[in-house]
Amino acid sequence: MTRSQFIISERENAEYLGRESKAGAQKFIKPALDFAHGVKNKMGAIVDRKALSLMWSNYKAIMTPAGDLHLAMAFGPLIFESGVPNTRGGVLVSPRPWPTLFNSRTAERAFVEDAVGNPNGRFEDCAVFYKDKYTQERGFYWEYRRIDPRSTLGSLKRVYGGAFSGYPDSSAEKDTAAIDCLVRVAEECKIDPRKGIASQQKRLQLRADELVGHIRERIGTEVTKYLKRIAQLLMDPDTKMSWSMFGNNCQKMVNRLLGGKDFEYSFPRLPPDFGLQDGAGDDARFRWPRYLISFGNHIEGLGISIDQPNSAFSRFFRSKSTDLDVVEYLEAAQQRAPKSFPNWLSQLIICGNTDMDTNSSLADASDALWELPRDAISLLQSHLLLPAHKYCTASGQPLTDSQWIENRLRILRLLDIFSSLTGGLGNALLSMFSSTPSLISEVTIPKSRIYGGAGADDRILLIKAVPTPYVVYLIRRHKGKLAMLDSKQTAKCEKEAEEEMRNLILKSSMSGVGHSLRSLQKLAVQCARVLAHVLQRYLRFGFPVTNSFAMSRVLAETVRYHEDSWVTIDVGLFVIAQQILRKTKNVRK
Amino acid sequence: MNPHPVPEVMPATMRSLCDRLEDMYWAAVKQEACNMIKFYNMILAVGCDLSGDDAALGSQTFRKLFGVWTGGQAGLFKGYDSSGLFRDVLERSGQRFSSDTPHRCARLVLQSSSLLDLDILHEPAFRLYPSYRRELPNVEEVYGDDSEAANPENVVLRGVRCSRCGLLIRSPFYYECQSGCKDAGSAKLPSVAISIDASGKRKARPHRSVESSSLSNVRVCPQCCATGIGADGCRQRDHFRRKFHYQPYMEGKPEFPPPPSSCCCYCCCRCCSCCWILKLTVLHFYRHDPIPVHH
Repeated sequence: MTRSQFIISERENAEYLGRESKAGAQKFIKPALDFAHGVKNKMGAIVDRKALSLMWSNYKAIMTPAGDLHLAMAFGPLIFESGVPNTRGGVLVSPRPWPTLFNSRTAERAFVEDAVGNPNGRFEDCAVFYKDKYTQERGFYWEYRRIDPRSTLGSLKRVYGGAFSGYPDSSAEKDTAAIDCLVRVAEECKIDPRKGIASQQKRLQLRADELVGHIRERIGTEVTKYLKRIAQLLMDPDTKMSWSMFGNNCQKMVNRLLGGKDFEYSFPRLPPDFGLQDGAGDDARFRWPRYLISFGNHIEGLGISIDQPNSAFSRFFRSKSTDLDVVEYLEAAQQRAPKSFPNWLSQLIICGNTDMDTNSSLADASDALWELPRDAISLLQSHLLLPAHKYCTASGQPLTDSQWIENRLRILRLLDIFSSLTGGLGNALLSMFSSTPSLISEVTIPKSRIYGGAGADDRILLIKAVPTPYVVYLIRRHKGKLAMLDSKQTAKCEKEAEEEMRNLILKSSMSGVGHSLRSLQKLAVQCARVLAHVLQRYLRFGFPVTNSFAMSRVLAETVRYHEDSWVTIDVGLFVIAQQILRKTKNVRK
Repeated sequence: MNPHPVPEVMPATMRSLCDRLEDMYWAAVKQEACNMIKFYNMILAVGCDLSGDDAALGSQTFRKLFGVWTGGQAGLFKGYDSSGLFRDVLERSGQRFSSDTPHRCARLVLQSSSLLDLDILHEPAFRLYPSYRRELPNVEEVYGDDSEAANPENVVLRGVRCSRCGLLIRSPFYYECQSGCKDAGSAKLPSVAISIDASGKRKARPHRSVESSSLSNVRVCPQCCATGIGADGCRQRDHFRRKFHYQPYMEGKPEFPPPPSSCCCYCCCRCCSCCWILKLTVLHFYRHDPIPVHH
């Protein structure tokens, strides 16, 4: 291939990339072209092979922000995905493989149909939703498909619905009814070696119907809301239905199904006049999904999510490892560098921990749940999807039956601890707002894109740009202590810098921060100067405080544009984030 | 038997779509409910001790996270004193740990399906182009009776391959049969012999006379293992153990033959040290001598 074949005009590039994302095109094409010939806006420039490769990798980042992976969205036991063969380019809705509650021996003992061991496999009714190429009309059909085991690398939690978490308070009785029902029907379905398997299976199906009735009573209303929301998105004319690798691949479809206003906030927004009616009246006015925590209404990827440097999942996705699932990847990382591996993560890996004293290690693991809740709950969910034969003891032996049950119970207990504390938090907040509705206007419900990836060691300052309805977030991610300072001094330095930056942002808010990107950049330059001054004071040597012009150039390179008008600017220890021209509202009509 | 041999296409409306999705959802829940009942009976039969979960209420990390979630919200604490909201959260959560063991077990089992959660499942996908930056393949030392392998001055190396997909295993973990079931295909695998010449330099060259006595055990890579364990030669699940790969260690940096002029891969880089260069050498020979893949 000769150099002349690489001649590309910038206009062509811009048009090509502009179809995907204008912001992305600006961000990615510019450095690629600069890298190639060092001159901006030059038509018909010769781009060399390295620049092309860089451009291609940047374009790939726009096209598949989550990496070379197939993404599917799971809502409870259903999976929604596009890009599956023989679906007419549409969306396939299929039941997921069952959570791994049994290993091969316990499954045999309990007569669980094992899809892996069964040569015919498990067949279920699936729905394919598609758009006809010629008539442009949307239709769907049912198909009886084989549900093969999936080689899931990891399951990233986006919305924690809080089923059976005791949230909201008004559902406590229904929770109890479902639990009582399970205790009762399980007694009637104990395996009896004197009876035939077929008759026992038939009885199990009947009792399962009864249990499902109670579950439906408890979560049926919420399930309808979630499914209605998904149906609305699929029927929306703005939703591209036909799959294409470049324009509308599986990742874009999942991002679309998660997006919108429903999961934009970490906790669901409240209906107007909340608290003026009784509990049931308030409940009925939530016409949108009433989840417990949202970790983000988007997929994790370049140009979409806001970076969390301590996230194990982010590291796993960046590693582009498709040979290992997330648990194996973390185990390998732990074996390679056991000293530098975070203790909280090793508590949650769970495999091989069966030799430990269960109660003491459970206390540590329950503490580990809160270090980075999104990763912790996602890891637990991933454990429930991995095949049983991937688990073994520290010496490589397969788990015995009692060890296996202990392993599963440990995961379920951690899930219960998570649900209990988050459910308690949700109930406490709702009770406070319903007893004192005037408080609703005095708080700001946090946005899930910022708080979804927050860890216990982070610090997030939420600064309202009064009188405008815009909010600026000042985030300090925990990245270890500053070199040359001990931890006490580091904390003091950070606190001082935070305080000064907070005052600065509050002062600037009066002059309209949030109205434009320019004003935010100006603010970031001022913040950087404040930070440099504070560091100079602490480090006591010639830390260069550069002039505004030089600093603004440096900061311009750290500006990152994310989906939904989010902009972040890295200012040393801190990240300033804002959703340009988007209001924050506590009440949803 | 397939009850719907020819798909019947229906026009999509909001109503029909919602109804269809709901039907599918509850049918799937029923299947999982059957497993919940069986699992509940199993854990009660084994006997489980759920004491000590309430210790989680004293978690300092949760307190810190609570501070992050509610930080900068002075309005939130107007209805309480400074720590009142946190106390309220702990009280409400603590009530759930007081129920008896069977009811707690039932609650744990009901939560296993995460019925109201939205998750993103990440799965391997077709790659648009091969990535040369992926992990290099694992190699193992081969012992045999032929003159090269029997010579203690020589080391014969062979790639570790998956008996199911036939590809070299690049991940640090794999699953190996510990009962001695052999992978017949491994006899045909090319290998590399590294020897010391008269001047004391290590030299690598292709080695093709591995004897049947040095067949490797049946192995399965983690990616194949995700859809079930076992391969031709061993289908017994209980035989497999997970292995964390051992890297053979060699002193010195061996010289290996120059790549053919047609070599277009990045496997001939000479900048790495010891183990990496051994792996690269093996990879090099594999690239130019494709392995037969058994489907």
